[in-house]
Amino acid sequence: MTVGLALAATVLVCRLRINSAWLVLGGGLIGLAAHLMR
Amino acid sequence: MLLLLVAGVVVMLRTRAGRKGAQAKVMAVASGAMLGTGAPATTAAAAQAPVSLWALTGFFLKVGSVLYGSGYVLLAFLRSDLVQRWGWLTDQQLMDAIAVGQFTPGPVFTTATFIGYVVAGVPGALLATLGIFLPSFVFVAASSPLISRIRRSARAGGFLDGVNVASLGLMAAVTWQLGRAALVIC
Repeated sequence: MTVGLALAATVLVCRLRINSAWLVLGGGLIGLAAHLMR
Repeated sequence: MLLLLVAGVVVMLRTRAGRKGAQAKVMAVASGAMLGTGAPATTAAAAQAPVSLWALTGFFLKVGSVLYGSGYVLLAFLRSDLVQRWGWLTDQQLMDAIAVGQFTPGPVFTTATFIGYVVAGVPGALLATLGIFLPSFVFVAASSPLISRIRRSARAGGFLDGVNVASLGLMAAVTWQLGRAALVIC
């Protein structure tokens, strides 16, 4: 999952030029969701 | 240090040697731009419109507030806003700023000082430095009573893990983009 999330972040920045702040925040929320689903 | 010095000299010599060829290339790009087929804005020379000190300070306050990870994440923020969004800097200027941030003593955040100077002179350098470092001091002072509680929280740990991974992806993307600009375009 870690590798997949990092790759997804890379693709999002390269292809969609998503704002970095939202990307980092989104990563944090996914991390939180993953923790809650465990 | 020796490696940095040698690399700098090699690139400097290469740049001087390629300057004549580059002039012809610039003419070709300029004529292409007139025909509507020019290079993208990020690689063209930046049209240096005056930047207000308020905007500059506000930008670095924002970056200093939301930046997480390391100085290398800073580069992603700088590129997406200063180069791609507002055009305050070119890719080349950003790479110069990163180089200055790397070889000067202290954190990579000193890149902000260089950028402030390039964009708005000495006042810009001072305000950019203040803007990027000030939020850290405020946040540390405000959050120090909560740190022990945050450390014990598994939820906060999960959130920070996710932020770390997204930051890794961000750094990889910027490394790829700037690597292409540094090694291929010039």
